Amino acid sequence: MEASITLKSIAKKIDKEVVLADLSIGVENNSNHAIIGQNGSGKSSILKILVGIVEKDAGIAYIDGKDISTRSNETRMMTGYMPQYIDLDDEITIYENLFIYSQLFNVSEDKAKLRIQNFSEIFDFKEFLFEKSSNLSLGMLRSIQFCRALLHDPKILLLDQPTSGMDPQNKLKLWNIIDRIGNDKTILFSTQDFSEAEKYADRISIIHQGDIKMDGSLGTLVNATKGLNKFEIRFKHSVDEEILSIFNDMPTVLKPTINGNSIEFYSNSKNDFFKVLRHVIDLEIENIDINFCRLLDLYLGLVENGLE
Amino acid sequence: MKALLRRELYVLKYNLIPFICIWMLLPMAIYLFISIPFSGQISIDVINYINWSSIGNAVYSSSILAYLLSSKLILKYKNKTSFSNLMLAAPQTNSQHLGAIVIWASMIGLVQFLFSIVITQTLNSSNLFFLDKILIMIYGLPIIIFVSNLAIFVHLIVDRKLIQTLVNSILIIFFLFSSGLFLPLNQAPLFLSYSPLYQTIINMQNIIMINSSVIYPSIIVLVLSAILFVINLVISYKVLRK
Repeated sequence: MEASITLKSIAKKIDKEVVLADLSIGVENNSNHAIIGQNGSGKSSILKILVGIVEKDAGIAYIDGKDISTRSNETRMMTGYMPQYIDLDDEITIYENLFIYSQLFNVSEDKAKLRIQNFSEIFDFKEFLFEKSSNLSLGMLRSIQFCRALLHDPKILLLDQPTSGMDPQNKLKLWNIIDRIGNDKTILFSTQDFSEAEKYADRISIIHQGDIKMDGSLGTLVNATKGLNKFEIRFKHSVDEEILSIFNDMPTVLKPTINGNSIEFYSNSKNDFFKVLRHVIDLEIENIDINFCRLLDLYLGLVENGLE
Repeated sequence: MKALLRRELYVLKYNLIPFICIWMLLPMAIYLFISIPFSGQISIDVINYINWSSIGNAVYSSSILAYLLSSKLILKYKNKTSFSNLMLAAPQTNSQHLGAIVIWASMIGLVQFLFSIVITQTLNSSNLFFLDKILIMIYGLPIIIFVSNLAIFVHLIVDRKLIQTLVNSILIIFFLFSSGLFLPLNQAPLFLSYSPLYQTIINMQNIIMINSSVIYPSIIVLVLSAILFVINLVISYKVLRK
């Protein structure tokens, strides 16, 4: 499929700290692409570079085949950006905020008024249109920011943790709208909510220390674990560190850890689990949990270098 | 640029009363705290000092306002605020952003100039013709534009607040005492009396003294403003999107 966003060998330093290091990523046309990563991993920086708030130090970035450095106004015109933090101008009203934004993107006055009206009805902020942002709740402001990103009907939506601070009702409303418009828009969003990424993204990129560590559909990513299971055995009383020695002769067991009263480990063989069980059967076992590796486990494994 | 100016107009709408207060009180304060005390010490040929200093009052008050407004706006872009994120993500070039700041600051400065001229002329019972007032404003506009660009320049290149305050203080002292606005520069170093800024002010004072005046110093100040704008533009690409 044709790439709508292409980043090649992007590098960025902020205050001598490397934020992005030789990062390359492609986002397919009309797809929902999620970027997941811990705080400070570079998720927001990717979106800020694409929208032109921050200049990259090295590399090339294209939006819809246009270089963002040389044709920045054209690429900004086709992107709608929703930042992680509230950026509504608190010196003017919500209506004026939205109106000015649409004017910045050359939307005609009539169209802008109509769209503001429609969005305010969909997201229930019609009665607050002529209030200043300092009087509204965080969830409401996030909804308004999302509407603002859509005002000029952009081809590409760049959403930085779009649902942070939203109540469940508005979260669902936002994802329903993204689902509805997703067929003819390319959506690149960053999130720390793995269930959102699993549910709404066609493709997921895991970013860590400024570089993409894994990239693909949820299925591909989970398959990469080769059927790895996460086993957890919880005991009534705390367990001794020495218990970890039982894993010494089990080379297929990954990342055995003691977590409070529990021992946790990863393996793709159930035999390993039974072997461990045999060793600890005399201890008072409270609960046993076996799960397929999900995105969160994969991510944590990658971040902590245990499952590479 | 239209949208950027419209945003400032909305802000002005909510702050109209404070702005009117500033427009009225600033020239009155300068009149009260500078012109009147100096009038006992300084004498000018042809007209009295208070009348002569009304040009200084108008230029100083409008320049101060344009400087403060430009500083406030450029800092909003420079400091990573919500405002800068929103504006820099819009399909507007840096020249449009800087241009909007200069135009807006100059417009507000020009209104201040008008208020100052009207207030000081009323207080002095002077009888300047309407066309003279217009001519003074035409001569004064390049200074306001220059000062606005200067504010952008200072706040783009200086990061530390303490240094910014120091530079601003030096500029205020320079404008007060070394630009010929309130003190005649008869004893000043030669380079000061050759500066286009001083020549422009002399021209405006010539109008009030019913002497002949020339426009070329104002044009030179305008050209200097354009050069400063280009320098600001180059710096802005390094500073605003880093």
